[in-house]
Amino acid sequence: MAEPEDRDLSARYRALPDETPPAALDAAILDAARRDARMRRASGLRRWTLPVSLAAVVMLSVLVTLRIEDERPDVAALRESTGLATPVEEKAPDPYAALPAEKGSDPVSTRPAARAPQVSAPASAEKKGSDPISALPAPAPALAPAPAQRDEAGGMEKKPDEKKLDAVAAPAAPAAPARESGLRASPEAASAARGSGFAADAARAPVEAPASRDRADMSRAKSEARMQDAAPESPRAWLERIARLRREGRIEEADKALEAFRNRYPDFEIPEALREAVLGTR
Amino acid sequence: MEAADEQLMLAYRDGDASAFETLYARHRARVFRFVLRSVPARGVAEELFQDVWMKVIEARTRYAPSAKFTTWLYTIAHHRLVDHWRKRGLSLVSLDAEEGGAPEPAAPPLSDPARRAALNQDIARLLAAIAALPPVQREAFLLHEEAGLSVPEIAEATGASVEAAKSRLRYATAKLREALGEGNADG
Repeated sequence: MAEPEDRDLSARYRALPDETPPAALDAAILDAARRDARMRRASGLRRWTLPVSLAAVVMLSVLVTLRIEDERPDVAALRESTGLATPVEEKAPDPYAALPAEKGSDPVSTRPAARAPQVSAPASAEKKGSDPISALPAPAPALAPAPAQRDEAGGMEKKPDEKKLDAVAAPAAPAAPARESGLRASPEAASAARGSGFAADAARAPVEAPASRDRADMSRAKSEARMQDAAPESPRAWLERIARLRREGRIEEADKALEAFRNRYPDFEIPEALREAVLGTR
Repeated sequence: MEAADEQLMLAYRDGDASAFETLYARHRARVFRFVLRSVPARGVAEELFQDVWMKVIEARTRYAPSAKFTTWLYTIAHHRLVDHWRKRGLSLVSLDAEEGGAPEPAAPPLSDPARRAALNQDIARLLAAIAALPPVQREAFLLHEEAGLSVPEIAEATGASVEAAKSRLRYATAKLREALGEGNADG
């Protein structure tokens, strides 16, 4: 169509009158196009709804988990600051006792916190020296109250019930370890803490480890700050623990705990039922 | 700077209705004339014209700018016309007939008396000559003149070879020149 005749033909064609579609047809087509675009935008939004929701749920879960991790009391520091000793009871099996201690897993996160620090297991220190938390030196017991009551269902303190005190003072006191330890003393943790599984903890004896000690110092400071807000150990629970220490022959620890108790509660009158068990044959 | 047709179509594909409005405003008259001069009746032309744009709307999600938008648009129009002829009982053989022999499916577009009165003699003669062309030649001519497609683009839009498209266009222009020359000679 490059020839002059072709150009002439093109010119004559363009001279034809303009024919356009009727306005109603234009409106119908444009309406259809807009409707379709709206549907597409809506479907686009729907398409993003599910992934965005899932992402939000995952993000929220992660944040909550991190928050919980951050607020969890540091077991090692609490052990040191409270100086609590956990009785070795051999009546119930510890479900965690079978776990291999050499795997290096952090017992803080895998075991119930009800298992209190072991201060009387230096004999196997070299054997289980890989546990950084157990490697912490054991301070004097009962230096600070434990926050156990915060986690106990219901009340913060026990009622002054003599029967209960007697039961606690008896040799088998099932819930006592969890209460005394002050660490995550949920019912499950308390029950898991019962029994002879403390022998495994005893095997995690302290070992001199400067790095872990530094870490413990830092975490201890954190935990002590947290414990300012925690509920103190009740006098009765304290006395029960002293009685238990004495029963177990840990006289020195019991005396130290009693001394700390006296410092803390100088006017507290020891109940008759516990007096002998607490004071011993002094 | 005006957005290219392809960009507008992509925008519409992604949900921008205003992009379609721009695109429609650019091409509506040409597509309408292409369809109007390919079929005998205006009512049919309007129906086919609407169908073409509805096909564009429906096909927007599959649109990919692999070719010129105009080529893609007139490919849709071509297919719609083929469907129309097929429904009217005219085979693709007649549609593809290059030279003579084939029945002329399109009636002269001057059956509308109002239009006829409005056109002068020269224009009427050209329109009559276009209507008298074999469909494929008329389509090639209209795609070239109305849509501005090149020979390869005509070939792509109609699914023909480049040679066939070139041949159809050459035959169409020769016939139109002849018709107009004869008309001039007569007049």
